[in-house]
Amino acid sequence: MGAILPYIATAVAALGLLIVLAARQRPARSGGGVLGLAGLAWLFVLAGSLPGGVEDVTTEVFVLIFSLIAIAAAVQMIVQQRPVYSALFFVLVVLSVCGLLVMLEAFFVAFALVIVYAGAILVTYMFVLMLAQQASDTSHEGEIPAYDRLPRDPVAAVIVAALFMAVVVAAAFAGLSDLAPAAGPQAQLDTDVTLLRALPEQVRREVEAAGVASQLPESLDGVVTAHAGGIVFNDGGGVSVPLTRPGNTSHVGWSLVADFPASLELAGVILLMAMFGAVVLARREVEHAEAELAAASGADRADYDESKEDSE
Amino acid sequence: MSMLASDAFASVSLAHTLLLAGALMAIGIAGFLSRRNLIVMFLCTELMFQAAVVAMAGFGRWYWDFSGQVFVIFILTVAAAEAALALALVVLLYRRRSTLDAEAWTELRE
Repeated sequence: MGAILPYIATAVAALGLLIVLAARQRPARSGGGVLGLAGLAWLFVLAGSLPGGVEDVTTEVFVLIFSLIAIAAAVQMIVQQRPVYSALFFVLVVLSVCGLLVMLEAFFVAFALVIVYAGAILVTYMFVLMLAQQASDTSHEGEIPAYDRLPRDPVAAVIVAALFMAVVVAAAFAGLSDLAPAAGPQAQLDTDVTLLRALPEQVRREVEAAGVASQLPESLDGVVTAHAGGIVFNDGGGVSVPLTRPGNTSHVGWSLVADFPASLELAGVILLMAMFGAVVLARREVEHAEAELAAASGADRADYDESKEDSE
Repeated sequence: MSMLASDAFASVSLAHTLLLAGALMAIGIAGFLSRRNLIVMFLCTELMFQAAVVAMAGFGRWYWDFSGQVFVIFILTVAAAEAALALALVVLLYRRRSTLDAEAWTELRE
């Protein structure tokens, strides 16, 4: 019985999502939202007993808060009828995901995400939204077009999403016990030592600033050691200097240039190509919209919109 | 133990991180399939990128391996490139048919 509970919770959450997507009345929608969030919260509580599970309850309460805000904002994003609100709710998703990233000690990417995603990419979306909305509102002022009001086949969409979620739940509840244990404090110290060994200049500067080691050995290999209190430089002659532990940004930067140099270059090429592509696409002239062309040639392509509305 | 800088936060549950990633990805899929507005569909792909970001950072924390965070940076790059190209395409399509409806393009032909 216990093995099937996570899938029931997933089904409850999916049902809530379906109600939110398909219901017309506002009370039904809020009911569906509450149902979906309750299902997900239940799933989170069930997952608390997993091997990679709860270490500290206060931390998990914060994780739950961030997760529920992110999920609620994501649902709001896909049900909002006005695309501008969708974009704004996406900003909320990004911000709460960044909160979670801070708790995961991924400080650099958390702030990079706020700047690049919530800042740059969303502003691009806003520009395009404003560009597209401005022109279409001239015909019928302020009215939301049909393609924003009516979802396309919400049942099928929710079934696909629920199947995906069921696979994730199955993987999490069956597979997490096979995972190697999490890296403890000792493994973290070892990572710091590896990084400091790769950066002898930084160690040299810190030792010189401390002013104790008069003669630094040419090679610093093996003189940086870790123990329970932190990282210490030993010159073998009784001089020891405690070193600052490298922060998250140092680690990410080092991993980026030392482990993935080719990918870094490729990322640059991708960005350059995307820039060229966007410029080429945006500069292409569309002299006449297709509706005008059709009207000029006498075809009835122009009443595309009306026939579309009738069929619904 | 409490001297360590990395003890600022207790370890976040990997199960919860993965469930959040799964839920965001599922909502993104549902939105991508059910919405008909081209721009909102692309916003849903960005939501799925966020799910990937959460999963990467979660596993990176678990193994204390910074490749996970490096991949978040690559995801960011790809998302920026995708946003630039996709939105340029949307603008082009919009200029042709004056609608953002994805179903206006169900028949692709010249």
